[in-house]
Amino acid sequence: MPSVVFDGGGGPVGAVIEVLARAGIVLSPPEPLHRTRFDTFDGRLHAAGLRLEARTTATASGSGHALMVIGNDGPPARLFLSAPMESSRSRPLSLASLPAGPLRARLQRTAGDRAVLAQAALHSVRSSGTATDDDGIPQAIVHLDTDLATGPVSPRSLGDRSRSLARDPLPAWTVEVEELPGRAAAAHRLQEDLTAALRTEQGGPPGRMAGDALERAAVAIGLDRAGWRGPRRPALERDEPSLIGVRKVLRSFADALDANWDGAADHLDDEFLHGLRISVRQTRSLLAQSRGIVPKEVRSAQREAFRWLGTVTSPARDLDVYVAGWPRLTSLLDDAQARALEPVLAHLAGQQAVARTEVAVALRSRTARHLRADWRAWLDLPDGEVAGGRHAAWPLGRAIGDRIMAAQQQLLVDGRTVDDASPAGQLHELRKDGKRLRYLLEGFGHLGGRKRSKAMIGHLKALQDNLGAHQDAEVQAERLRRALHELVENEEPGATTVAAGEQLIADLERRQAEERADFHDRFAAYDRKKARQTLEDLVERMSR
Amino acid sequence: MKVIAAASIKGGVGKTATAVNLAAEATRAGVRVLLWDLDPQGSATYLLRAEHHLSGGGVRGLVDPKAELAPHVRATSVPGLHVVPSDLSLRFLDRHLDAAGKPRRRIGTLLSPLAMAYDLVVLDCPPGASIGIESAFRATDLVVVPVVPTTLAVLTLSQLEEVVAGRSRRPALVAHLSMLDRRKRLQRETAEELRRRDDVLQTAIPNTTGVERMGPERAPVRAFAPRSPATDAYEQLWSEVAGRLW
Repeated sequence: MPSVVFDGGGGPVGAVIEVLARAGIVLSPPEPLHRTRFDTFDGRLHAAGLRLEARTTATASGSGHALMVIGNDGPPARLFLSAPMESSRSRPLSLASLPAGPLRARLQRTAGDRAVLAQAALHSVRSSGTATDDDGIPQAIVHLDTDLATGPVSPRSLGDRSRSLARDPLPAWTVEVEELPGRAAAAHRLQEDLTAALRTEQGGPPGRMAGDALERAAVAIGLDRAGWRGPRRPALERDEPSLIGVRKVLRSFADALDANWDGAADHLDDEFLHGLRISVRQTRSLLAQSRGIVPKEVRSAQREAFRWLGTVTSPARDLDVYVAGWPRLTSLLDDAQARALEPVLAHLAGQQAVARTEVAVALRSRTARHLRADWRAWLDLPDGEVAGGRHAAWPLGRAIGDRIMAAQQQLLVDGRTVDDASPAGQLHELRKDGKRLRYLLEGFGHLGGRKRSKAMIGHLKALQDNLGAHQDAEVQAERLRRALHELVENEEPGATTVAAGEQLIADLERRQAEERADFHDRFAAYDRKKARQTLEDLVERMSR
Repeated sequence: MKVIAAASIKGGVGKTATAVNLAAEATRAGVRVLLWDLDPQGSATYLLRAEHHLSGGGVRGLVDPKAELAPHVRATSVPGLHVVPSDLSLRFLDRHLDAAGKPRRRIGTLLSPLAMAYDLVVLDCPPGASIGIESAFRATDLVVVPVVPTTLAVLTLSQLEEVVAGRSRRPALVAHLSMLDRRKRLQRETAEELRRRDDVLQTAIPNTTGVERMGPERAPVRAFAPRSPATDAYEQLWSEVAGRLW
């Protein structure tokens, strides 16, 4: 139901209390209220029009705890709890621990695979009252909050350097008039009375807040309520020096790295590590393509540093994908075979736990701290103070255009040499060629026209999907072979486990063969004259 | 959105107490609940402190093919629990439904636009078996039947099963023990026997003053007796009902 919240600014609260008293509203004794706002890192609840908050009130008889989901339609859902929800900066809210029912289902459906994190907290002292008619029927609900202060929870996305939001101070008090269904007129009357009283008191029109005090608290600590949506695309010019343009793009990758770092180290959910690794791959790829643009010593030191970061995070990500994808992976097996493979899954889950610990240690290590600090220090240097390579002053469009054409040429040459006898590794190398080209197009392709760039990325994606599925089946089969071997080494797995494992390996090999059979058509579609011409036109426009 | 109906052919068995307390407990459990008082007596409306009045022409306005339920929704004294209040004109519901096209679909049609706003609708049905009840059952996932553990009251359960049987869209039906007086041996024995049935829930609502006080207090039991046996029983009853719904 709609609410209107008046911002008390720094003014006295006396006028509000008078208005409420005239309306016959008896406010409850003031009680401390602590509210914590939750959302996923990428703001999925906010995007769905939902607000999730935990409330703790301290009354004379003890503490009360509730979880509230406030949506745009229908009444808020309020779940009373016997204890506060366990959560902290490094510990997501466990939706699975909530009682089964529509509230949990709605939150799980909306949050999907992302962790629900405490983002902002507000302390206040609250008095509430209900306006009723002569028959005692509720007409509107009023909440008066004073002594507002942001709480200790700080949002992880403050690590996002790409967005700096204006911080909004909290008002001295707020008063919220909650409209009840079928009673809009009563709420509006009360709102008008408050507006009139506050206009007199404050000498100007009273502020009506967008959202409520908790939303204001979230803004006050600089939280972007829309959540992380990836790094902001830098504004690039075709004619600017290539070093300046490349550094802008590298900075946006570094923003993504920073934003995902803590969540990956704490393993809040699988997607933080995934996001971090994407930024690592993009950075490595662009550094590799920046010969003659980025100074040699920076390029070689950072390529080495990011290679290390890629290596230490790789096993955990592979196992995350493997374990999370296990139900789909084993979907072709019958129930008995799937059950027989449970020891393999447990073995992989054990390795996953170890790999996650290794990621946490690596990301909190001195090496990692230096990596980030050195990299950011170079990225933050003023453009005039950065010595570039011999192509550093070339126009960005031309410098990158040349590299796009070189990457395309490499991809075409390598792709045309693949035949039925080519080993799987050759297709994997071709996939890497494709990634190099794709990252260049994603970072700079729009300089040659957004439409052309999007079309070209689409062509490339169709080929990459095929190569990706081929490689995934290769890696998964190999991982399974290794897991079965390790199980045999350590303990005797049952014959049914080995048989089911072999069946799954055979399934993966069949899937890989299907992708392989599909490859030539996919590559031929990519290698069409029209698709090549699209890329040539794009590069030509970039280089003008 | 799930729909449950508190119903019985027999009157005075605790239907309204079941509807109001289940709705309040569900609200407390984080469920967005709308209670629709279909009984012209309006006891649920009274207990939840809403006006005993349907705006826009009473029951005739609800049977109109273009009618919407949302404008009739009201707040109650239980925060977050909404109600469609009763109105004396509901005593003519069957007559109006009879004159309308597809009368047994009417309640479902009225509820469907609210499917995104509420997780649960609780229908407080009047006693008996009428077109209005059949229309309610057609929209219902689970009929909850309060049964006083006496021979005659148990008979009404099988009668209600007959009403439900043979319908193309047939709700599940489950009974719970109501107004159990543990001092009476015959009631205790009947209750034990009933509990062995799959369609009878384990929770028994005791015949206590707590439930009787709902009238003067005009509130669900928890609101004025949060630590009473009746409150515990309704919380447990909700838990059992929720288990059948989700």
